[in-house]
Amino acid sequence: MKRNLVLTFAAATLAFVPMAFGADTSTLGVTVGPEASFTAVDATTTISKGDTAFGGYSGTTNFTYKIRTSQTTGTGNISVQVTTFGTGGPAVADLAYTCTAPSSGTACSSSTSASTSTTTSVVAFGADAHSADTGDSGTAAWTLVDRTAIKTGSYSSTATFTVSAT
Amino acid sequence: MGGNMTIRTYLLRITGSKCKFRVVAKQALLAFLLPVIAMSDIQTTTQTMSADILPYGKVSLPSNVTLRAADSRFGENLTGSLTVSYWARTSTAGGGSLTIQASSNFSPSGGPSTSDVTYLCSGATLGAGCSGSQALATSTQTAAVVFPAGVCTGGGGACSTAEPNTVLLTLSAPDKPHYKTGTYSAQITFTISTL
Repeated sequence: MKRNLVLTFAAATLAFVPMAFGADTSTLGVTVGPEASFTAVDATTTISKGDTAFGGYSGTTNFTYKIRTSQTTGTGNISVQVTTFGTGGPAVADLAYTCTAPSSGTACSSSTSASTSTTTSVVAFGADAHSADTGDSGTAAWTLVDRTAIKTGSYSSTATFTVSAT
Repeated sequence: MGGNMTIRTYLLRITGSKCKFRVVAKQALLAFLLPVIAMSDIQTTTQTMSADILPYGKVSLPSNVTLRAADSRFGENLTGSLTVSYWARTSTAGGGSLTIQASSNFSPSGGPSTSDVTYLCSGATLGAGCSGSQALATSTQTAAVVFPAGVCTGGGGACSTAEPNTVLLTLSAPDKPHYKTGTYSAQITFTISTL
């Protein structure tokens, strides 16, 4: 018993080693705002025809996007505007598209005529819209009327997609 | 002849008195001087002065740090930086550390989680800053700086020239689309301990 008391006292003595402590706190804040990004899966969308009887051309632009709109009053949009095909080529007035998108947005409801003078909607977003963290996928499916007046050759138009979020 | 003897005797007596007077005078002078010599005696005392210099630790932070996106296209993480000031003194056989811990998850809910936050340490002017990306935790303290034995802040020489010492923490959280827009906050605590 006496020996145990001595050992306990020695252990307690060793434990009383001078230490110093200090602390301070800070507030870690995070500000999250509306954001949006768009990526075209392919650099080029080929519009081709399935027959040789003026049956019309078609092609699909695949894209992915990320979106976050403000909680109560936010909005967002993916829109597109095209350039002309060039002299002798198809008319932009004969170019139209339909859209698909996941539930994070509202795809264009019907066939929409492309325009060179204004942007036209592909996907619309409301308040508190969020894509998946890895992004969502959508499509713009193009149709082009095959006019007999179109001269043979290769023609191209540039489609500029713009994504926005508030 | 009797008169001459008398005079001689008288002179001898007078002379003897002079001698005796001188002796007495000297004795008296010595008697007077002794107390004076005793009152002016100088006494010296020595005393050992000792000071116990103990380990010391103090830390100071800015009141807040905010993580933000660098763009609005999910291009970068949400980031922010924090300069921590600290003072430390470790014993010759001791050491110490500066640690960080989140007190809770971010509030309100709907935003990032504190477990999503990581940090890098750089430019520690005393001790070794954490190496590589560290994850912020609520359940445990994670290292920011480690102090070796026998270090001290300020003054130069055996101590650091800088006072206070500082370390830069760069904090980061992924910018995920599923976060709801808004502002979120959590408390982080830095603790310095020295031995």
